[in-house]
Amino acid sequence: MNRRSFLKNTTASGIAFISPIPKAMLFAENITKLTILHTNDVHSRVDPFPDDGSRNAGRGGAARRASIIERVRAQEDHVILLDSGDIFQGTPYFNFFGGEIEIKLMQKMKYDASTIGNHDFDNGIDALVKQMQTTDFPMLNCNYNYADNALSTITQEYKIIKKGDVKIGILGVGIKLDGLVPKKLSGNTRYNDPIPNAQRIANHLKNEMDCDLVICLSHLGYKYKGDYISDVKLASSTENIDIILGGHTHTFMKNPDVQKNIKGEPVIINQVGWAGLMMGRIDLKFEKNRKNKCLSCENLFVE
Amino acid sequence: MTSKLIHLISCLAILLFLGCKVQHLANVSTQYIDLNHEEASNQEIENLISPYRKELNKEMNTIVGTISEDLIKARPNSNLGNWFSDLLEEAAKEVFKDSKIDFTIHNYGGLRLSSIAAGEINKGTIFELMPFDNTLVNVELDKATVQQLLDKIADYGGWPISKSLEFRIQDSVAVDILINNKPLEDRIYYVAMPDYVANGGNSCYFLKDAKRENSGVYIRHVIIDKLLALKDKGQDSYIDPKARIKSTEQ
Repeated sequence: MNRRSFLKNTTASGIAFISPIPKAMLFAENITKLTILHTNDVHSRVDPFPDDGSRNAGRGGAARRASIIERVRAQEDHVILLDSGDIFQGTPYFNFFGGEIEIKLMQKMKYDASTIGNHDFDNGIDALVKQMQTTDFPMLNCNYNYADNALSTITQEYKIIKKGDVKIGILGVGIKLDGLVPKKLSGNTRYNDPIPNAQRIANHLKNEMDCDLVICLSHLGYKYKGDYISDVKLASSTENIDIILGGHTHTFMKNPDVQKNIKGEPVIINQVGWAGLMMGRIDLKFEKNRKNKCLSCENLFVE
Repeated sequence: MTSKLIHLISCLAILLFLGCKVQHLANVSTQYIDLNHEEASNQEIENLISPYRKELNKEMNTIVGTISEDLIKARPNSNLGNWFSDLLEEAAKEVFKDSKIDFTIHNYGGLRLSSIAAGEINKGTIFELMPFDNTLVNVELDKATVQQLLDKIADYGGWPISKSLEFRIQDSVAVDILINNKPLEDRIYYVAMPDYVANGGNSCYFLKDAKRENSGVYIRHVIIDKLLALKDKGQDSYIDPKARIKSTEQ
């Protein structure tokens, strides 16, 4: 059972365990609740894994994902649905239909945005563009140079969504293509350093577009042993990014990681494994015109 | 709550200061939602998938052959690796009629199933075994590069290789190499492999500049066609139990 608890003194750790914030607790006039649902590396898993006794038997599947999304949308006023790339490759659905069903499903579920994963190039640029032309949602990426090819018609550097009084800026970053994506598939798409590009867009979203929240959809990977650019590295090397929704490394996280950015402010990094076995849900509560910045002084349900 | 939220997670009692903006982020909570049996299927989505699934199943359920024993993937050798590699060598000899294929290699990670059960196998299984669109390539290698390639395979602890090649792993290099029962000679060898490896994948960067002929056909299609041809003749595919890679290392 949940019990009410005062979190005033929990700010040292910065993290407490709670269940979702019930709607009734929100003071209608001053507080906006935003719910983010997200996926990554779904890899053409249209159907649940076959019931064959293997590790993931019977789990996942687009029809279940849609049920969850529908339910959350019925319960919450402000929901955004995002994906962090590698929509394609991994089941015969992709080999046969070239990504058509994967994209149709995302359109039906009303995704707000995705980013480009390395496997989304697996049938070449034109195939990706062909599928994405049928959607209302864009692919977000700010570090690939695709000015000379058809990707420019389906991609945007960022997207701004207004939910209630809250303005959300979303950008996307992609992984280095060399050695990962054959040249014949990525064509003349060029990779640029994600850090300065993500910073450029995040600054624009926060400073010029007055976004209250900046989310980065990333297909860089959670973290690596070496010096490779990752979500952790991106978080700690930039500012004005609040949340990084990652992919590529197929990481199942027990909790979201919270890193400090260059100004020492927290950045939430989250990722939900792969194959659509799981969905991530992040609930955020925004307060309007609050002078007191001690924002931890909130009543929350604590488990 | 009606939801089947399995993994409850955390709240960040949040201090995400958003400057002096109108909206302050006051707190955050996150959950991981497991898509398991307890979650209902959305009918509209089922209806959208259904025609694709039907078409796919019609194709994927096609029986392409029969195997007489369970195939298990392992290093340095396995019956799965042998079965696959011998089919590939036979197929490669037909695909590249004009050059004499000496042997085939395939990266271990390129085969994505760890086992295939004895009995009838369908097309779907072959797709799951090889989901990536790798094409079959005939690469011309000199003696030194063959040695380099086999050393790499030895270093990895063994890859699936066809029966025309044998060697022993000693101190992570390939020794006692026999190709069609002959020691490695100073000549050009024709080696069939996936384009992924030929293009330098799995650290085989030394293959990148080798002369090659790319068939342009996917390896899984080559295998499917080979199996179907055997089936038409009423034959089972052959599973050679012999260890091609001997290892003095554990």
